[in-house]
Amino acid sequence: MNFEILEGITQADAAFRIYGRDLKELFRSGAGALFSVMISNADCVKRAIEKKVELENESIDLLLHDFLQEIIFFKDSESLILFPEAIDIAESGNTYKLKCSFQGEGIDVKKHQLKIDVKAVTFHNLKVEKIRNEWTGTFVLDV
Amino acid sequence: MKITNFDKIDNCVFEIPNTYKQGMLVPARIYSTEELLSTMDDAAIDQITNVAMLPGIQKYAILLPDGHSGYGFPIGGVAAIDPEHGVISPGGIGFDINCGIRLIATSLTLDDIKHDIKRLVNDIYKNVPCGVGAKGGLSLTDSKFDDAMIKGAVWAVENGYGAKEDLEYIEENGCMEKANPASVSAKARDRGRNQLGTLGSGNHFLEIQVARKENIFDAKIALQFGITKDNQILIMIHCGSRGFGHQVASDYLKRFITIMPKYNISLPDRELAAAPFYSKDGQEYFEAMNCAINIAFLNRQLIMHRVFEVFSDVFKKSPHDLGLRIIYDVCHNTAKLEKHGDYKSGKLLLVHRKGATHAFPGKMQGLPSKYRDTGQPVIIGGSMESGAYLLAGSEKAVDTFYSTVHGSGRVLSRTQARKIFCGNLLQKQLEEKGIFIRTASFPGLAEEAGDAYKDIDDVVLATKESGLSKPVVKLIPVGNVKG
Repeated sequence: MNFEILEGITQADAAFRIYGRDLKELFRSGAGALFSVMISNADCVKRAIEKKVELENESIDLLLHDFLQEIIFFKDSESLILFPEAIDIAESGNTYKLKCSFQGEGIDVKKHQLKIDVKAVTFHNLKVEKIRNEWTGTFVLDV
Repeated sequence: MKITNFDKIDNCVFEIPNTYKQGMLVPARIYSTEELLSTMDDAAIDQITNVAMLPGIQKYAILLPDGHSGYGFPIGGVAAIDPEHGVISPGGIGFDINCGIRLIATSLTLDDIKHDIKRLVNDIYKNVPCGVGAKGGLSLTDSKFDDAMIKGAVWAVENGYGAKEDLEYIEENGCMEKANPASVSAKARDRGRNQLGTLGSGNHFLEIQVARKENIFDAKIALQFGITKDNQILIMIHCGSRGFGHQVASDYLKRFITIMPKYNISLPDRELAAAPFYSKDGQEYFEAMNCAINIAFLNRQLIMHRVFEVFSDVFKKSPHDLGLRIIYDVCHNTAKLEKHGDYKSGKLLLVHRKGATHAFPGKMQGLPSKYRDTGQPVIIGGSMESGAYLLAGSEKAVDTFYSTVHGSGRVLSRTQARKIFCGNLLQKQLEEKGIFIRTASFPGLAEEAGDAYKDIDDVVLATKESGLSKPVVKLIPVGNVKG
């Protein structure tokens, strides 16, 4: 996972730049950035529950948005902290298709050092691009 | 930021002309002192000048004294749009739809509670779920959830959470019309269902405060608002529509981004995505947003009910005997159709307020009869160490479509604050100053340190000087629950 916090974009929220050698690694970095806002001891989360998700979008940056939103959705709807384990992203015609197996466990305040609730992945400064041989992206989380 | 490109219109009003940036339909106006303006970040100015490009915007894109950068719209941003020819923009409301603040009076004084502050804060922390992943005690069936979306705080009262009298003192009487659950996605329902009655995290808080005699600036209005004695205790609740509202905003922003070309709308930031208000897309968002506004009213009503239970348990008296009564409940993040009498003979405008408070002067329709002579109570949340303010709506706010500040406004980013402050140490330091805090997250507490925000006294001074609202009383925290 490879990400950095960006200053000067938003004072109220959290902005990130993420990196990856390929799209799978980029998306995994995005999830890492998201979890860095929500939990201090992500290593303590057991892989006890699995959820499979399939997403598609014509735009790769909107696909990143939807992928990160799934993590927020599971957190709120089922109180689960789920990490992407196996990610597959394929380009088919004009559409990017993503399959992901998320694994994790229910939120336990005694075990997990929780930080700040993330409300949403915003569309502000949302960008994914390939520069030479590396993928990079930026996004802002509403916290 | 450095003050350039501004025309000084008045002592506390600065204007950026619509020639500043291509696409601006109206000028941007910033309400601030020169000193506060110098602390505003450049991104906030960039964002408010983008807001000036929204189709149908009237008069000015407005940035209030607590303004700072967010995403799309700045926080503290106001845009009044002609609904007949203009748009609705979910980014102008924000993800936390009807994040708002409620102030509650008690008949207790600091002397009455000084030995019980820790117990009150600890019991509130136990009874009001907060922090990441917290679940509320109420899980509704689909039909009851639909009913709650339509009725808001009214649903709460009908189901035993609070009294009928509460409703008069909530903006819109706690229930927005034109809320249609059919426009709400299954995902929004799933995100919101288990979170009713939860505080959240970030800048959301629940605070016990004291109104000291020396901090009362207008005794007559304070009395009318229900502040009747020295060192009177008040309770402040700041939270919103939780995951329900966040998902409603996400759903429609995504939809609006894809449909904007159909309406020939082009804006510089996707977070400003918009649709014509009277289009099918615009109306469905409006209906779903009104559901989220109602869920936030319901949320604050449920939380207040739990707080009342704690006070009743600690003091062995009923809420009525403890003088527990809502002073007012205001929304921060909404778009509402309002009749603005001064503007082209009472035309309906769709006023977007993001991190801004509706602030009506006296004698306006919709205000409780008790406040007809004083103006609407305006509640300004501060940081947990700086205190908060109660102000009154003013006629001079006509230029901002009767909008005013909602809080202090950040000067440090969350990352900068975490580098400077330590949550555990801050908790100890504040306890030594007489402010007892419980938090679900120490890193989160560090991000909310007083010095991460503008000086609230400066923000209120700018608000007073620009005539947006009249200061009534400053409230000092003695206990705080942070999510």
